[in-house]
Amino acid sequence: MSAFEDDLRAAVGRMRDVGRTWLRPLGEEADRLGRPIPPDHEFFTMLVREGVMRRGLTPGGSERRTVRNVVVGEEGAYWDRGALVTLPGPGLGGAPVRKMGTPEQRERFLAPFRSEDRPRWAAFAMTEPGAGSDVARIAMRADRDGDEWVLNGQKMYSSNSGRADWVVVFATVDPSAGRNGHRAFVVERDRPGFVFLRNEAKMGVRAYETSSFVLEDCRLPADNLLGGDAYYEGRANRGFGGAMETFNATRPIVAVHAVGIARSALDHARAFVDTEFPAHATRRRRRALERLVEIRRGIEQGRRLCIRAAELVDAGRPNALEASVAKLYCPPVALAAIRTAQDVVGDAGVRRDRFLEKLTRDVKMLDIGEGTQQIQRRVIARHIVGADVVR
Amino acid sequence: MHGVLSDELEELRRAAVAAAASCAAGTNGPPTEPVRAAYAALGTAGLLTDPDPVARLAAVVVLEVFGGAAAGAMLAVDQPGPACGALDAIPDAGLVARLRAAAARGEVIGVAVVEEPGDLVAWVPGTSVPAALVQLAPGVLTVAEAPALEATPAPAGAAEASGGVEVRVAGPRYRLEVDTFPARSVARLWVAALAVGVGAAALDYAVAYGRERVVFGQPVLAHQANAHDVAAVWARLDAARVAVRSAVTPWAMTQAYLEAMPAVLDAADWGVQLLGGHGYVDDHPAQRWYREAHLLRLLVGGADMAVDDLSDRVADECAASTDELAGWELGA
Repeated sequence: MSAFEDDLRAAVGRMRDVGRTWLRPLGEEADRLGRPIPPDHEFFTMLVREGVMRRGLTPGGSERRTVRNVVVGEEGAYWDRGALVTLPGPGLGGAPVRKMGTPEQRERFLAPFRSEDRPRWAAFAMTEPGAGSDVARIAMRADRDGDEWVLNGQKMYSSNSGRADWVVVFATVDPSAGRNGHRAFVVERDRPGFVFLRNEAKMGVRAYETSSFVLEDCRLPADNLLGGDAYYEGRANRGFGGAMETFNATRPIVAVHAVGIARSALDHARAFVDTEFPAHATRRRRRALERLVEIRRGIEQGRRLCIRAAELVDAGRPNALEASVAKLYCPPVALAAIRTAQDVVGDAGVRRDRFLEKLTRDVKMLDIGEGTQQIQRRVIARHIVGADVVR
Repeated sequence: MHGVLSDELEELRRAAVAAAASCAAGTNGPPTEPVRAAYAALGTAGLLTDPDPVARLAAVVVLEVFGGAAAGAMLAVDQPGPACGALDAIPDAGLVARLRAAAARGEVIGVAVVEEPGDLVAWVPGTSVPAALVQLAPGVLTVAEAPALEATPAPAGAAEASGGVEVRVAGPRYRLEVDTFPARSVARLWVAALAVGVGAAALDYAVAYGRERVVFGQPVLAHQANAHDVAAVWARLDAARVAVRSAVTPWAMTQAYLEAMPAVLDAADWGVQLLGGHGYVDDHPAQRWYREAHLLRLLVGGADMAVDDLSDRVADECAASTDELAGWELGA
């Protein structure tokens, strides 16, 4: 076994410990109470105390970073996908800073995450009330005023932005230019004009907050534009492209969360079969075991697709098609796995616990966030049919 | 005609839509009491086992409408609801009269379709001790009444309007060895009728949204891929509705349940999917229909037990008519 695999195995083991001790109980509590894990929760202070902000939850080299995030992410989602998303760090906001930011911006915005004074989060904001899948329609305005940018508009469904130090906000300098008008800014949450609106009342993954906010004449220094003016010179669509590159890098990770949830349903059903369908109950047991085989096949196939897409990211190769295949495949497989587990458990699933019922609500988020199922189909269709035909 | 309503039943359906709309409130469904009054005024409660097929269809049609408007509340409101097949099977007139009287007072008659030895434990909608718990295990019908029941809160998470309690039998019970398949089938038809209403409401809402919301330069449902997906889901739900409305025999009722539940899950799933993020939050009712669809499918034992029931009937037929079986094998 390679050193990388040894390292990865240790990282999964560490995530399993955290998952069993913290993620599962905190996720279930948040679901029951209908509110996210508060940012001052002892779980987060414990993570800071253990040096997680400095070296990550699962220390290891940067080798094959995306594959590593996929494998460890599956384990985290197995315990609780909602609680997993609350883990401190730059999260989805980190990817565009790393991809689009200047060296100075990367240091300025990411270095604080290595300090150990307190848990820190960052966030990403693209979606608006009138622009979801069709991000070209975003209406958040960015106007240049001397050495400053002035942002005006509303964002919604931005995860962790209620507790973030800063949010990467996509805005347009010219709504009529569509995606060519897009620019990415880092907006610190303590900037005047940043107005928090509310946490959305989600039907699942309630452990993390998904928030709406408004920017009202929010003034930013010119160097909060990711990449600076030079980044966009001659290539007007690089703002939109940066967002898409972010999604290509993160979709395999989000997709594998569905694999983790499916594994969770499988284990739940397996334990039920073991205790409720003894070997002499031949018919029910045989049918249940065949169902569990179906779930397991979906899990293993989904995992393969996610790792393939992640390997391409780590190799610096294009992966838009493979990322969309993984993202299209995994959430429905997980939902089918949960339904199958419910068939096996029957009405015992209503009266004994809420676990599978919670999973049905949690997993649906993965069919929507980071590009809906329809968007993945569109990406795949544009690759195989041609963008000139599928517009 | 299968699934096609007469003028009188269409009129009843429209009245049910108006009645249900009168108590609708918020995206998480109306509270129980207005639903109880509106539903009772239509006069179809308990008709699911009526010998008159028109009366039975009337009950199904109204359940469909109220399923879409208030499935959560209906779990507690419609009594004896899923238990009405069981009441027909009990020969003890005094016991049946007590159960019917309790149902008329708005008390819940719980139904469990489980094959567990020992003390019976069941999830029952409502917030207090039910009047009775009916167990419809294969070959054995059991009824335990209120003094013998203990209930503890057990929220199901998916039906806030009705809540839920976990009920344990801790006392004497009435026990009858009888074929419970017909009673289980009625309970399944009851669930399927509510569920078809949930699926239809989810699709109707999503279609209305998809006609308005613009992506990539045109309404969501002007994109052929989306429109075709919705058409396929709608057709499957429509087929399920035909099965539910035309089911008369226990076999057909259980089969209708098996047709309906996956179709309803897909409809509720697309109800969220077409709205995207908006479908996942409380601002729209799509998330409620999604949760209700997943709850309803777990009642009366789930799909595996329904298939078990049908396979038992096929096994009986095989034993009774080997000549016919040989004909099937030849593909005649």
